[in-house]
Amino acid sequence: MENNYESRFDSAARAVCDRLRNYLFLLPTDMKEQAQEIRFRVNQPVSICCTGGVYFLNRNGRPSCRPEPDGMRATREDIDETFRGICSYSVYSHQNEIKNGFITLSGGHRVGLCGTAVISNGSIGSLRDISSINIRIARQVYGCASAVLQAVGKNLREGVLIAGAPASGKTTILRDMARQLSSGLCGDVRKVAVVDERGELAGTYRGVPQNDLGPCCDVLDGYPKGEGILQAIRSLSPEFIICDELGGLADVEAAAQGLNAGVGMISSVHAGNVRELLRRQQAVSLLHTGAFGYVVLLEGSREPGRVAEVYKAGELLAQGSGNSVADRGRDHSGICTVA
Amino acid sequence: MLIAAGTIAGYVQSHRLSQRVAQLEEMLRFLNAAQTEIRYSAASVVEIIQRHGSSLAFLQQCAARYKAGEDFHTAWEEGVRTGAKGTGLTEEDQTLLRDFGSGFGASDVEGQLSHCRLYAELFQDRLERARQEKARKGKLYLMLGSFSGIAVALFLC
Repeated sequence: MENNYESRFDSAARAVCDRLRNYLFLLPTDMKEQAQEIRFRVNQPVSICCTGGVYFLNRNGRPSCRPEPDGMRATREDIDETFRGICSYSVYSHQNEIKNGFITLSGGHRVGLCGTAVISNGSIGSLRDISSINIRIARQVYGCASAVLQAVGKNLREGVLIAGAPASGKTTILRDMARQLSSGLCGDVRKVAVVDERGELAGTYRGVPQNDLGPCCDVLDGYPKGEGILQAIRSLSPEFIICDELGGLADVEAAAQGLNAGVGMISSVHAGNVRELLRRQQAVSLLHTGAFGYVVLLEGSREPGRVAEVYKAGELLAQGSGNSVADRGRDHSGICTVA
Repeated sequence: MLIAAGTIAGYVQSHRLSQRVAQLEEMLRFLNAAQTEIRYSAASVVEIIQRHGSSLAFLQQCAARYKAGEDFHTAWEEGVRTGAKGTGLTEEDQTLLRDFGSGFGASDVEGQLSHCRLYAELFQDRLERARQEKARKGKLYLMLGSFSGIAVALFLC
């Protein structure tokens, strides 16, 4: 397993304005190891979201469990300066990313932005008066996908859909699956195409993937998932296509195309449990395409990356249509349990 | 000796006028290049400075300071403060440079193109006046220096 979590935290914190950066650097090591997000909201206390909960910086820059009235607050100037720094002081060169609400930093960290929308021709043209910044710390946990790969075994080509609540480690597992498959760590070396619409999997910065995805992985950075999948099938002859958070109608159709092309699809979907998964029409549509033979359910954000159970998609759908899975609970529906 | 000193003083003053014209011409070239880069390559401000600012000392200093970890606007301000010394640029020119730096990179593509166009016009205006000043006063400073030296020498004799 990796990792130098502390340096990952520090590399993400480098994007923060001078006034607040040093307080972040001085946080305890164990907190840096657990940190998932650094959050700034204008005139609100700076908060660090960790696996164990949310912490706030007090006036001395030390973490506390509750926001204090005189805690360390992000001012308008702090937010503006951090935003400019994140854009390398070149807002125009991140115009499309800002429009989509996030910017990828060197190191693969993703910065979510929130502000006032500037509407142009009926759609969001830009953002102004940035009010919240969320720096999501990119993690590479080497080996974290081993449990999934072992559980699915040789049937991986049937496709895997990873389901989990937000911050449960879906993206981290997908990233490690790409790396293990394209490095041949779980059998033969495989040709992998990663469709990275939001830049989270590869963390591409100026054309260079910042995360290790192995030697046989092609990254389609910024492509809409549906188009990216079709393009990968047409031009890259992949054995596996990996993408994050499928959901739209175009994605479902592209997944079906992938199945017809004999490509193993590996993707993720937001769902905290089986009931939630089967309630989501898009997720059910994805399973109905037949592109995903298995569904891997993750534990929640308290134990990111931990596999709760692995289900066969067909059985899940059959049980779901009988409305029995959710009622009967997990224990009876999973094909195996991974510790 | 006195005549030579007076001539040199006149030459220095005259040279400053020429230097100012050259600096303003370089700045205009930089602004034109910046517009092209912003429109077609979306290069960052520091990349633009590195590619097109090699003949302006203050831009080089700005890039070096930014690379050393200063935020861009502090690096720009300091670059202008230290890099514009001895280049013939007037206080007003330097204020204009600082104003340009405060908005450089801070908006979307259209906003930046407008920003560059506006300052290109302002610098063009200053360049015209600098050229006129050079034509009018360049030789005058040389003559004045020489004659002052001669006058002082005669007076002392």
